[in-house]
Amino acid sequence: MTGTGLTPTGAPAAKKGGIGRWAILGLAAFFVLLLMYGLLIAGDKRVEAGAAPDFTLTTFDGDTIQLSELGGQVVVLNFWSTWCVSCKGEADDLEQAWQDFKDQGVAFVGVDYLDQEPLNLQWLEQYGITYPNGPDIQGRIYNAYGVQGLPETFVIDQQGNVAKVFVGPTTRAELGAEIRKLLGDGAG
Amino acid sequence: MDQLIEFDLADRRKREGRRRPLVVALLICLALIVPVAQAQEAPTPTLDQIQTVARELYCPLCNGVRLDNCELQACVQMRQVIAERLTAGASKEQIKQEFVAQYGPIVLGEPPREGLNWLIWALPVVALIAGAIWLLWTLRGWTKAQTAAPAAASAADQSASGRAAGQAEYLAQVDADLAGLEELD
Amino acid sequence: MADLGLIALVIAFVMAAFGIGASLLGAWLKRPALVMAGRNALYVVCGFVALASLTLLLALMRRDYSLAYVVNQVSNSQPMFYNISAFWGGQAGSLLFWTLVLAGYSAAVTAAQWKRQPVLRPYVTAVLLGVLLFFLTVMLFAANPFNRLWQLPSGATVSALFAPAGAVLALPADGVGLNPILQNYWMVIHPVMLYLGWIGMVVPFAFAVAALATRQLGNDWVRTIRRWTLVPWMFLTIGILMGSQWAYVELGWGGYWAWDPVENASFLPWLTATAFLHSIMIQERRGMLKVWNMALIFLTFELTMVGTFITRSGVIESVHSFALSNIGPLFLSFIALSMFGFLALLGWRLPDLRSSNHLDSMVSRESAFLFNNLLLVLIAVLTLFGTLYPIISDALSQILPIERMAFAAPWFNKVTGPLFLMLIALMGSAPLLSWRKSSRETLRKNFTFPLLFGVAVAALAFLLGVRKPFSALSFGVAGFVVGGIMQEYYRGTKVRRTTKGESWPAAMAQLLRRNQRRYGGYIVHLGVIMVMTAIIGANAYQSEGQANLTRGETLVVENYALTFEGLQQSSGSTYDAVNATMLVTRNGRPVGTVTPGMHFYNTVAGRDQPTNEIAIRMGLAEDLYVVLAGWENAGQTASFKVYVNPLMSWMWIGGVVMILGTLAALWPHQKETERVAAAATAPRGAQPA
Repeated sequence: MTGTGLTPTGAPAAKKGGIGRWAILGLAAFFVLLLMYGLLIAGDKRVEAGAAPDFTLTTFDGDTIQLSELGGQVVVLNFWSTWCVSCKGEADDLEQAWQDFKDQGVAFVGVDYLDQEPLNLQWLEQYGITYPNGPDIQGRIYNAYGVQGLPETFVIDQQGNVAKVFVGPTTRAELGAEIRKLLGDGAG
Repeated sequence: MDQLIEFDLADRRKREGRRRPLVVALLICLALIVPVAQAQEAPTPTLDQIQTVARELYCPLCNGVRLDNCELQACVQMRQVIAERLTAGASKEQIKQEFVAQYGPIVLGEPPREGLNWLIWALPVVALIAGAIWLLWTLRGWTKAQTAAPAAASAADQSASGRAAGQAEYLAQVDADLAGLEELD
Repeated sequence: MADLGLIALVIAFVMAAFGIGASLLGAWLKRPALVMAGRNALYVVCGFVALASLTLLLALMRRDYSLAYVVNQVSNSQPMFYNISAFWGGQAGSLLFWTLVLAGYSAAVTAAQWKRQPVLRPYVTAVLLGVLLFFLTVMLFAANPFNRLWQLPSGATVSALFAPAGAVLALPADGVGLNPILQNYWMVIHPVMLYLGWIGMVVPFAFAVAALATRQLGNDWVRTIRRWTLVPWMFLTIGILMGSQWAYVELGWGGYWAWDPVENASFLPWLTATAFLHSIMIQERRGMLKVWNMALIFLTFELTMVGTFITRSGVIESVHSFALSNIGPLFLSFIALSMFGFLALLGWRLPDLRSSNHLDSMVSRESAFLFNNLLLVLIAVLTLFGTLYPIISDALSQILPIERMAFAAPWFNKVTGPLFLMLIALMGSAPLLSWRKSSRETLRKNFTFPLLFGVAVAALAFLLGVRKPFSALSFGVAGFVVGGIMQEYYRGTKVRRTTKGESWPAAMAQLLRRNQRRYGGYIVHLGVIMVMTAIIGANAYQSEGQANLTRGETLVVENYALTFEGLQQSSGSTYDAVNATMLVTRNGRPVGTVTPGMHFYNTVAGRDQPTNEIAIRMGLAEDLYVVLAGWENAGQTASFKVYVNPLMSWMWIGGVVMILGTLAALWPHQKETERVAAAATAPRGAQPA
């Protein structure tokens, strides 16, 4: 708004007054719209239902996982990081749940958010994680799912819709119940 | 990230804690007392060397917090990475580039000087020059609009400066300024 | 008891709406009785807002856990001092505090100006009540400080005004307590100062609207609001500096300003208000720039609102955003409404604001002030751009190959640093330029000494080891400004001495007293230079060192050596403390001990967040700043961060000087009659060099 205030004072500016006025109003409107946009994106945007955003993840083993290519399976998408204290608590549960369901058309994917290379591999080894995991470079998947904190676990049904979000650490039992429900639905 | 979640006393806190990851992250930033760096082998870089690099980086989780000062576990790990890279012989600039590649330009605290981001760097300069030219142009218009009147004023000015040594002149200025200003008060 | 507060808010809300209607109707129908009713409504609103505030304050002091706000802000072990400051420590309470301060300003300005402003007064009342009404609306409908805590049948607790179905009142035995990083003396009073600054800017806005509405666009209202802008400006200055002080002593990174959104929000209106305080002098003297001054008042007001919006709605993440909620949409609506309303009014009255602008010369104080305005507004625009960049880049990333990101200190420093330096140079030049026109002769006479002085200071700085070009240049500019101020004082005093035969001190005192605005302003400028010196010193010449020390080991940073002696544990009323003792030597001489530590608060909010208790040895030349970062081996080893911040104390000294200067400029005149007589003898048109 630097350039706009002074002009209308001057007599020569009288003719340009029309343009100046519209420019100021436009600027003000633009500013309000910008703040409005900020308000919109600031809201809770976690994907809690509906189509799960597609993503591509390169795993630590070098494989590429694309959500849309896992079609027809129940997908458990877990967001974690080595600096997340409560992720430690659910690591064993997640692996056990994976063992429970890995032969029943269920895919587990671990997304490692803003993490560091040697430590995350040590973590996977330490907890004996066997399902595919990969780094979320610059948090793209994290943002796409509107994750608000770690850990969060998304359960995606066979049609590719988010069926359930576990905010905070989850358990083998909790996760198992949800997966069974979806598998039951799928079968029936 | 669970610390805040335990504060269930009022629902508010729980909701907020969950909804504002960065704030949560930050609170934990301030929260975790980080045990002094684990016993390290002899040739590892000193804390000072690590911090010299960390000082020029920003925590990608907590807005505007410098990496050398962030106590978030993630930041502690990032500093460990800096230490490892320094041990491996990487330079400060190399490490910074690696961090940008990993976390994006946000770790630099400023936009990278490439592509469209140049516009952001050009904006202040362009705005300053445009503003100055516009103001000069406006002022010139105002000065021209006044061609007859200033003769008297400048004459007064000239005569005053001609007798610049006269102290009475200065007192008169002080009084005139005083009169002009104070009466408005 | 707490219901009383709620009832008071409702009455205030109704009365505010009534008062607006009465004032506007009274002005329109020219019915003095209605206008008076509007004024009385304003006083009633103020009374009930005060009553509601008192109710909340008492609830906080009595630890009345039936209120959700009290539960979240107070705990059994929290000292009474922080229970009181909890009034403005949280979202809903701070809104009530905002309203209370605004009520205070409204009552004061109404009482002081009612008789003097017969035409403007109904509109001023209506605008003040309008802003009050908005805050009452936000409290009643979005963030009510008198909400209660209810236990749902499911066991969850919710905060609401009335009981949800099946819920019972929850009465916790203990509260959450104030966030421990807020438990600091500076943090307790700094929001108060900021609020006094921000909210005070509503008064000039109200007068601007009234002047536009009534077409009383002469110099009268401008004179009135100068003081009413200077007072909030002073509080804003205090608030910003106190906030820096808080960050400095509490956050533990050796810095004081991080260009954080909350900090920027307090800084933005300060910039435009500073621009206004200068440009208004041109309007007072020359009747020019009427629209521009309107624009600056408008910008200052909107920026306070935008600042509140940014920090309270959560659109931008910030270190300081302790309380977030859903008040965003309400604030945004108010911002949009006030923006377009004011712009429409301004556009409507544009023909009345036309003034014939003419300048005698490009080289005059007027043009210096205008360039000062350009720079201040440019800095404000760029700061706002940087603050909002996370939103801007998010929006742009939808259409352009740009990544969402936020700027931190590097961008802000690089972009605004040179602009600030230009601004300071102008600050030094403007007083040396005459109004209307400066002849070559005048320029030579006025600029020679300050320029030489500036060069001398730069050279001295260079000799003392300031080798960074930008820093040396900055010191030179600072020297130039100080040289100019010294010259002005010296000349004025000398003249008084010779013509009036006064002694040096008497002449200096008389000089200030006879022209408070002018010489008070110079004192403020001197304070600005001190702050600037601190900024250069601390930004460009900070030294730091960190190390893990075993007992008896020494860390050397610059000319300091710190020897770790050991850790001690102690208990305060609400926390356990761990402190390290370090012996300090400076240039080899022992200068005492420092005891940096950590506090572990035992409140719910604080148990996981130990606060840094930083040890700072302040000195005029430099601060020694020691942070205890952690320990192991049962305290046999500890890690420390040590900063040496050159010239840091000058920031706080400069702040005090700025405030003293403002007070000097504001202080009511003592020799009213003498001054008027002097004014009568000196013809106004005379503008000697």
